[in-house]
Amino acid sequence: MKRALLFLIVTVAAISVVGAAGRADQGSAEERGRRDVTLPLSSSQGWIFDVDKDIADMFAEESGITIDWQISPDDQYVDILRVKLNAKEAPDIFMLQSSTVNMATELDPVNNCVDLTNEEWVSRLDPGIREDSSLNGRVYGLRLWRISLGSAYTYNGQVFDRLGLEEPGSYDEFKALCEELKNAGIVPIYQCIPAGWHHVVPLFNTCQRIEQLRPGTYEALNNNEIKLAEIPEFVELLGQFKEFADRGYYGDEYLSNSYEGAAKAIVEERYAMVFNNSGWIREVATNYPEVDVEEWGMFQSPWIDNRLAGVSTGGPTKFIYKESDLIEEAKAYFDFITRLENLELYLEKANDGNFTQITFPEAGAKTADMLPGEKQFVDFTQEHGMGNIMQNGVKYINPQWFDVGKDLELLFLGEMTPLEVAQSIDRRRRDQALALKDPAWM
Amino acid sequence: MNKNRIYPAYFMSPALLLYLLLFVVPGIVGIYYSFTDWNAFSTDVNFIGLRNYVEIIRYDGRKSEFLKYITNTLHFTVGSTAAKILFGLGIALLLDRNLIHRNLYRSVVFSPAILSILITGLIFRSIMHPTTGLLNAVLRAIGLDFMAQKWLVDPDWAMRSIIMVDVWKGVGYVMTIFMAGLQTIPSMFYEAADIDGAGYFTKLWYITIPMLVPAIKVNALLSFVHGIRVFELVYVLTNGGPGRTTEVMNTAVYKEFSYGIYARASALSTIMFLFMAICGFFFLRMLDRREVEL
Repeated sequence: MKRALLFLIVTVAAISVVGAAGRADQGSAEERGRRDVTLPLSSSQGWIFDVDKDIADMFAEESGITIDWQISPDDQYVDILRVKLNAKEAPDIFMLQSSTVNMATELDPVNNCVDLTNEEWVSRLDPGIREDSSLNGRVYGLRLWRISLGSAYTYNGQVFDRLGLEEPGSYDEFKALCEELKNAGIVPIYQCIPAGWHHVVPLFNTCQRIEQLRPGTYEALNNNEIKLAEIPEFVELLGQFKEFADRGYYGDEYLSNSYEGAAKAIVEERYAMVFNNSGWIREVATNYPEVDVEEWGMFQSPWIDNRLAGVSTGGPTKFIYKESDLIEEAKAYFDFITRLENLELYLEKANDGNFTQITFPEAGAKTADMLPGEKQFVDFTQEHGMGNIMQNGVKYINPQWFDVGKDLELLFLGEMTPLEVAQSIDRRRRDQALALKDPAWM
Repeated sequence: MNKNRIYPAYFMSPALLLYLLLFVVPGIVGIYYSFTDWNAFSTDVNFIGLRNYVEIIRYDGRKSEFLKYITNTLHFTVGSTAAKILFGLGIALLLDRNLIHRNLYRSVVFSPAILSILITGLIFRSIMHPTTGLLNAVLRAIGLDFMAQKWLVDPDWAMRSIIMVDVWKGVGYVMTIFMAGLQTIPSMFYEAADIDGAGYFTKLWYITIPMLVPAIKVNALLSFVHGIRVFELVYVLTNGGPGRTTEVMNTAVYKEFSYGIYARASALSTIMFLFMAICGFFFLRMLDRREVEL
């Protein structure tokens, strides 16, 4: 009798350990219905500014809903988010790069995101951005991130003037320019491999040149009619990246440089230039007021003799998780941050005030304050034209961004050839396409 | 023996049932899924045989990168296990003597074992930075510039650096187990050896190490399993870099899971499980021959 009683107690104790967790969940679920709730928002560290948190504090004061910021390092965030989405444990609000191609292949918004098409602010969003945040005519994301003029090599004008250098118009001129800088004891290009994403940007932000030389390439890639390894210009582009590494144009510290160190390194003339978004020059102006940034300039990526500006319509975008218990609260947050006064505050303060415009035209634009380098870049773009960058036009590129970064690192170290890098990218595209049962690959 | 005070075997059944449901059954189900095309984008799960395993070995007719991850994992496991046992035994032998503040030294050596792996990784990532890190700064300050390395960014040094950090963190735990083992060796063996004129290293080889085989077995097995399952330290220190030179099986599993290709992640996990089972079995058999029965 005693043994039977003891056995019963032990069994009940074992089961109650599991049951207690469920009871705790039920307790918390009852609290979420109230307004004094916490709303998790996950993001990569480079996508959130102080003004986002200031606006969130104002929202908390007004509504009682507190935003819980879950910020991850740039090189880890996408993996973490994808694991959470796949495990059906995504945060209530999360951020990801938008573009119709990426949303369809990387995010599966129909199953993972709340349809925001009927929200009031959608009609006020820039039409091009609205389309890029949509799939099959339904809007799924809210993007405030600036409309970009594109990325370019921003250079220290004082260094160029002192050495009598001019902006290159071709790959050979670019190589000659870098050789002169290296001979003068200045590392030509600032690379920061540990960031994981930065050194990949010039690769795919030059591919509009391939589309220019071979019209229809993007579509052929999406239809699996051609592979990247079969495009000579793409393999040549990778070869040029490798050549620069071999010639020492990235210096000795590129495997350990941080992204945040670029401005200081170029201001101090240890490095001459960095490939970055066109608004980066304003960050330098803000953080180093003693430097005459009026003399700084920027030029388009000259790899494979490219002259086209690479346009990116995608950008960091907020989505609401479809399985969230706080959908109405998240929508209330979106309503708040898209109020005109908050949009104007965001434009004024985001990225230390270095955005010239955001995705809501009513917030205005700061184009009148353009620096000479920016104006020059806009003029160049108008003269030579623009093209869509590869990650916004070709499927299964953006999801493997950081893996491409590792491939490039191995390319620079001599562990992979340009052809092997292209084949590696093709292999991952195939894996993703097969997982999605893409008809073009089946 | 009072039979009334011994609990019957069926008292284990609730805990055993929970263990089966939470550990064994998911493991078996995971092995089943490794033979399918299970992924995040489709609710259909189709049996595809050994295709996932074939792709882990060869992909598109070329050697797959997953083989490199397996060799990296083995490199880390063997390297860190050997180093931890060597240093752990050495420190245990040193601290087994009658020293002043012996307990303080033991505490200091053991303390890294209780730190979070994540925090340890973040701190060492800073310490081992090639230009601003404390390690290279100290080496240069004391005139040992030639020893300053690009610890976590040089392909030749990245895995060695991860092993060094793992050894620093785990040697205290290994030392503790060896110290417990040393306490069980009867002193009469050493007295007899002294009478026969045996030196220190003779006693070490013929008495101490054979008597410590159970402790060596425990340490080796725990280190081996830890090595095969390593993830956090690699992820925080190098994230598999530079390139993929320090990518291990668990970081590959994580990557496949983040891509939503669950079946291949399951296949990699199954391979890890088989490794642990087979290598662990042979390892223990090998050490059984050296064990001394009292």
